[in-house]
Parts: sequence; C-alpha cells; structure tokens
Amino acid sequence: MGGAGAPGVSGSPASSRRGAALAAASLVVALALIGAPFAVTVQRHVAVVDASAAQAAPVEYAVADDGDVLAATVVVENPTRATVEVAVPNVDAYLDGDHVGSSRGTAFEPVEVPAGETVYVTVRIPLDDEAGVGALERAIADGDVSVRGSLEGRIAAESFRIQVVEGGADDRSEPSDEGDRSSTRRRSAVAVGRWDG
Amino acid sequence: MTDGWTTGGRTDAGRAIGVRLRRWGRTLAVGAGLVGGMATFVYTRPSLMPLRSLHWYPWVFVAASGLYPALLARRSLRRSLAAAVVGGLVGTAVVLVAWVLPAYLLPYPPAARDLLLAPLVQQAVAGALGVFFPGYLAAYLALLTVLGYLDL
Repeated sequence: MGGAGAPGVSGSPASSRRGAALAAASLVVALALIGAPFAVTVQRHVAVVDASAAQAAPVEYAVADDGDVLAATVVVENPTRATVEVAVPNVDAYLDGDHVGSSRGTAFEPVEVPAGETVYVTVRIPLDDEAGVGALERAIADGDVSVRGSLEGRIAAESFRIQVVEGGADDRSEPSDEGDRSSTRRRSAVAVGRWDG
Repeated sequence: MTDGWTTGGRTDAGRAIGVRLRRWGRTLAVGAGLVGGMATFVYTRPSLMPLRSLHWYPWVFVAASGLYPALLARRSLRRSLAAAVVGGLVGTAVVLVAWVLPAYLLPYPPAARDLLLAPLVQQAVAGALGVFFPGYLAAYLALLTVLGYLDL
C-alpha cells in the first residue's frame, strides 16, 4: 500500500509470518467448508442434466374400482447417480387412440428411484366414462389401451419431466451397455431441447 | 528493501522477499479463486445445494474469497492486484467447468453436446458476472480501502 517503503511498515517478520499462517489456515478451512457442498451440488447438477435421459414406459394395465380407474404399471429407469423422486404423474389414457382419462389431480404417493435402478410405479388413471370392467379388460388384452404423458421427477428440489413412452425404457431383461450406440442415440434424442436450465 | 509499488528484487533480500511474495501471492490467488468459484456455483444452483434453508451461505464464501488477495497489499499493491486478477480468472474457470461438466462427463454425441453447452455456458457466465464478480470485487476493494486508510 502507499507508504510501504520503510521496512518497518510491513511489520516484524514474525508477526507477518503469523498473519500469513492465519490466512493460509483460514483459506484451507474455507476450501473444506465450501468444497463439501460444492461436491454435492456438482454431483446433483450432473445428475439433473443426465436425468433428461430418464425414461419410463407403461408395462401393464389393470382395471380397478369397478372399471372407474385404469391402473397402469409404469417402469421408471433412473440412469443418474442421484436418487430421483417420482413426484407427480401427468399421464393420459387412450382407448383406440381416443382420450379416455387423465391422472392429473389424483393423489399419488411419491416414489424414490435409487441411482441406477429401475422401479415399478402404479399410476391410477380415473376414466372419464365408466367403460365396464369386461370391455376394458378386453381392450387391454387386445392391446387397444395405451398410456402417454410424463412423470414429474425430482433431484433435491429440482424437478424435471420423465417422458412416458411405450417401449421407452430399455428392455429390462438386458441391461444396456452405457457406451453402446443405441443408448447414446437415445440419450441425445431425449436430451436435445429438453434441458432448459 | 524495495518499495511496495514495485516487484521487489533490487537487493538480495528484496529478491528473496519478492520470490516468497510471488509464491504466497500465487497460493492466495488460486485459493481465493477456488473458494469464490465453488461458492458461486453452489449459490447459482439453489435447488440442488445442501442446507437449502440457509441458501445464502455460499455468498459468505464468495465475499470471503475477495479478501485474500487484499492481504498482499501490505507488501506490494502490484502483487495484490495481480493476485486479484488471477483469483478472478481461477474463480471464473471453476464456475465454467462446474456448469459444463455434465456435457463432458455424460456420453453425448458431439452434436448434442454442442446444443447442450450453449445454455450451460450461458448459466455459467450469468453466475460469474452476476454473483462472483460483484461479491469478489466488492470484498477486495473494501478490504484494500480499509487497509490503505489505516495504513496497515
């Protein structure tokens, strides 16, 4: 600073060394204190961007509540390294391509999907018109029922959409190789334009 | 001994102090940059940070990071300014790397990576300009002013 010309102004070597040691110690403490939350946040940040590759697919349909409700079992795959919470289902049911019901506004118990794991989630979809148990079961058996939409996933407090697509999640019997081309292509197709910060 | 405004080193003793100061300055600059950059990233990712109820705590570290380069000013203002600039660059680099890390860590094809990078870099620049620089600079200049005024 100004006037630092005289040797004495800088303080004695001993006190300056003590000051430097104090500064170094506080720097190490600060690095450790902010480094821990930084590591956690970075890991979650990577997982959130990775979560655009999370996929869900309906695998089974059942009739519930005397034909009032379609219970769709959805397989949710979490490819990230963080736990994903499936919070809100926003899926629609279609019969022969016609919209017959929506899960919006129904009660749903959030489900946690651990890192790298796959979980089966049952989504209850109230039907607009009572279809009748027999007719609905026939339609399910004939493959005329389909479910599309998305699930709201969460990592920490950040939410994102998990698309529910027929055949969307990988075939469960064969775990896919992380680096293989099909998984890379799928990741890119889903990722582009989905993550908006 | 040399005056505080030059690099030091016209005499042997001055040279020795200059070398020590340079090494010390580098340590402080890199350390300050790391602390400031990491804190900025945590601050700009509030929905992912631990201790979310205390969401302001990274800001304390951002400000603290600006104090370190100012400590050098009692020996050499020139070194202090150089350390402040280096710390700023290191901090910006940390913020940038943390934001774009997923694009390189995850197996994206190059075309998708390019598309993904744009919003990530944008967030990183916004974080560096909006959070890191103001806090870091304000703390640095404040301590510099106080130390200068008190002639410490």
